[in-house]
Amino acid sequence: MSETAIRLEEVAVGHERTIVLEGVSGEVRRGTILAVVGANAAGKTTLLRAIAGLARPMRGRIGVRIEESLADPSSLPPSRRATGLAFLPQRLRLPGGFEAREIVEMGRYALPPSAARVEQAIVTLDLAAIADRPIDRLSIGQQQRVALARVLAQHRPGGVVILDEPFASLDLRETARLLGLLRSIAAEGTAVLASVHDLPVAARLADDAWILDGGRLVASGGTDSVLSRASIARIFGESSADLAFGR
Amino acid sequence: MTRRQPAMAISILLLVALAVVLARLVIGRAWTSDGWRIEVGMPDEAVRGFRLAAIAVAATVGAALGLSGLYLQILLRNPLASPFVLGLSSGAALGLAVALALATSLGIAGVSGVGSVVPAFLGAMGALAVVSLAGRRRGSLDPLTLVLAGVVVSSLCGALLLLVHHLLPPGVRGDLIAWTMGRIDEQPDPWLLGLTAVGVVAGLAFGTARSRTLDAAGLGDDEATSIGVSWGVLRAMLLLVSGLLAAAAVAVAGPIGFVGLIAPHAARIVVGVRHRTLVPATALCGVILLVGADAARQPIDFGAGRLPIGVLTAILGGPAFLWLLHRGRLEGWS
Repeated sequence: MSETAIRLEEVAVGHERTIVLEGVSGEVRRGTILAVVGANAAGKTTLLRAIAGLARPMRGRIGVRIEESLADPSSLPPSRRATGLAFLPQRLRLPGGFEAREIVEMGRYALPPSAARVEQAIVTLDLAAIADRPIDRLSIGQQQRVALARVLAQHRPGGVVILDEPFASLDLRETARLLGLLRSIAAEGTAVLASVHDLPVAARLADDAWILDGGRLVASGGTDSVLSRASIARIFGESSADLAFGR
Repeated sequence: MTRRQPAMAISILLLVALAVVLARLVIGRAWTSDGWRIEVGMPDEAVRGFRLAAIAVAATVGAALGLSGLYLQILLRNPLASPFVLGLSSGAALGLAVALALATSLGIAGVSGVGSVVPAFLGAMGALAVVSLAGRRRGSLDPLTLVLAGVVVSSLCGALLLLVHHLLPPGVRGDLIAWTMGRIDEQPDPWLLGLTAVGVVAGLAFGTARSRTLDAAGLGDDEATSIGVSWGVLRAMLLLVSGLLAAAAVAVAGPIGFVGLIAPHAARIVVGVRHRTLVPATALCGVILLVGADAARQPIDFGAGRLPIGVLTAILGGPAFLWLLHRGRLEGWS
């Protein structure tokens, strides 16, 4: 399970004259979970979108194991990329009028239809009772779970799953459920990347962590060291460490 | 909204479409010694031929405008999008106006038949080309920039159209004004009408064949792309199909507003948001709206002939859309 699933080499991403991300290098192994942590506007979403092939780097190289070998995700056709890489964006836009089940089924758009996978995703995210309701009649938290179920129906064991703020809008019970779910996905050999604001959740979730600050990767490694009180205090200051870990 | 029975909903729309077709066939005007008189009843064979031709024009143009509006709304993710938003109608009107002005200056009697529709078609496609170029950001079509470009192009075409109006001799000016108010011809150019009908069939085939993709396109850009939708290709196809349908409709019947806006929303209310049924339902709603409006205008005469079709669709369509907005019935837009 030590095979590289994602590799970044001196990646810089930006738009027009603004550089959002600069000089990011690192690797994510198959079967592991990486938490991406950082303040607002640190570049987390840009990093995840670039790895998902939705933003082309200005410099550097990104390789993602969609199939057998590492490939530049932004150069692959979306239909091919979707077979091995599932992505949950931070801002959801779910088409009104469709039932929750239909949104989950959309995860199979580029894949062979699988009622079993769809049902499994619905049950896993505890959506059975609301699966036939229109998506626009559900709460924000329920919509988030529907979007997660869509990702679950799409993901291929051994592939890559990228989640931008997946715990946003989830209550404690659902947060605990998602933690367990992501651990089980990783256990199947899937590489999981998730941006997480809540440091204790990130520490419980991930094997490794990257800390972004001002568009640069300022710390990376095992969560024990990267998300330690000393590390957080050094990067974000004592008051942030006090808030995260208690005085 | 619950999932509708698609077959039943489409059947109801078909019945309504047949009803408005029948209404247009039996409602008409006849010239008597006392002037024009409203007649209700099956006309004689000659008159029936004219009315059937008008029905064919209204049905084809209504379906084309409805489908064009639907695809533009998907493309721009904007429930208020219609062929007018992208400036296609004003581009077509400008094309015809310029042709009229050139013909007049060269001493040609007038621009008629194919001669009147070719410049309209070129004007619409010219406006589409400008909007497509100006509506790009970072190399790809951007929905918001497209809308803004459409507004700008529409305004520019409108200003140039006024200039041409101003320059044309009064006798010629009247033809242009009549065309810009919309025209359901009872003696249409068969080639142009046939071409537009082929476009409608192609537009229907595109939408039904790609219905899963159109459903998935309702997700955000990132989410749709991440499940495998090629947004760039889909955008280009939506722009091309909607642009061609709108241009053909305007070339046949002049710039008729609100049908392209109302038909997709009416169809969503009847059949829901799934494009497999929404696409044919939108075409049917376009047929119902325009053939129905054409039937409804037959008795309306304020002393200057039948009420122009474009005036009636605007009078009925504007309040209908406000009602939809007020009732929150813009189905599928959360």
